[in-house]
Formats: sequence, structure tokens, C-alpha cells
Amino acid sequence: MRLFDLIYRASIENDTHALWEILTKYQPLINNNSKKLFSSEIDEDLRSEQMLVLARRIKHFDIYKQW
Amino acid sequence: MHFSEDFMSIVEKKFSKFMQASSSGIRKDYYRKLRRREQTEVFVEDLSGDINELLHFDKVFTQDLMQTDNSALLDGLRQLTIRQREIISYLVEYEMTEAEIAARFNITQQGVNSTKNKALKKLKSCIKGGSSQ
Repeated sequence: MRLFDLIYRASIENDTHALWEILTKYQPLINNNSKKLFSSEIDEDLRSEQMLVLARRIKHFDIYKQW
Repeated sequence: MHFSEDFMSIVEKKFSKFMQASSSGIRKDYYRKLRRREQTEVFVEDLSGDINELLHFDKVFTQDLMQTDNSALLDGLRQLTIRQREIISYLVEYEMTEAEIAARFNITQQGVNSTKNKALKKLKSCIKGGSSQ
């Protein structure tokens, strides 16, 4: 499915499944930004914080306002 | 609803940038929060050698601790207000952050911090007073 459809469903229709799919799609980015400062180990606390905050932000993403 | 191809591709690009910015922003906030916590945190180990093992809140008001010979600590804990004891309990036993406790009690984080500091100061002075006697 196209990314735009997922964004639309997650932000406009509040579709949890689409939200989860977006988070799965961006998993490499999330993992990369969840690495500990001086090692390549993933900080699980930071990772879950990323998932929670990103999920909240995606829900409020305004497709019309952003461009 | 029908959207033009241009619109969709622009939104996708914007969304990718938004995700990158958000993710790195969350990371920065997380480490900033950790640093702030490290700076303001009063380590229980700094207070006294034996307080660490005794400050397990469940035991504090049970018979276990009533039997302890650390009467100074017990006196100190008795002198705390209920709110102070609760906050110490959540911080030490449940390892909650000050923000979480603040949300639970519906007070500000600064309020939690000052209550915690007052409680720890009180305990510290009690233990020091007790050990010097």
C-alpha cells in the first residue's frame, strides 16, 4: 500500500492498523535513533518512547497543513 | 477522496522529513531529560551506607522494619508527612520519574522535586543525628 494512503488512514481516519504499519515501515529510522550514545546497542526505553511519541504525532499529522 | 499525484508525493516527502525530525527530536529530548535527572537526582547511596537497604518502602511500615535497630531512620520516616512518604515510595520502590508522580498527584514536577528534597534532607539529618549519638 502506498505511504500516502497509510498517512491518510492514520491521521484522518484514526486507523490504528495503518499507524502500526507506518511505524513498522519506519522501524530502521526508529532503531537508528534509539541507539545508545557510545555503542550500537538499542536502548529499549528510548525505543518505546520513540514509538509512543511518534504514534501520537502521526495521529495529529495534518496532510493539508504540511505543504 | 481523490488526490492528485503531486499532492500525494509532496505529502509523502513532507511526512518522511517530519518523521526524521521527530525521531531525532525525541532522542534529543530523551537524553536531555536523562541529563537533567542526573543533575537533580539525590542518590540514596549518598545519604548513608545502610539507608539503601532499609529504604524499601514496603518494609518501612511493616513489622520487618519495626524490628530494625536503625531507630534513627525509623524516627526520620515517622517525621515525614504522608505525601513525602508516598513520593519517596514511588521514587525508590516503583522507580517512577518525577513527571509521572506529578501527573499522579496532579501537582507540578517542581513540587515533587522540592518535596523529595525536603524528605531526603529530613531523613539525612535524622540519620546523621542518630549516628552521632
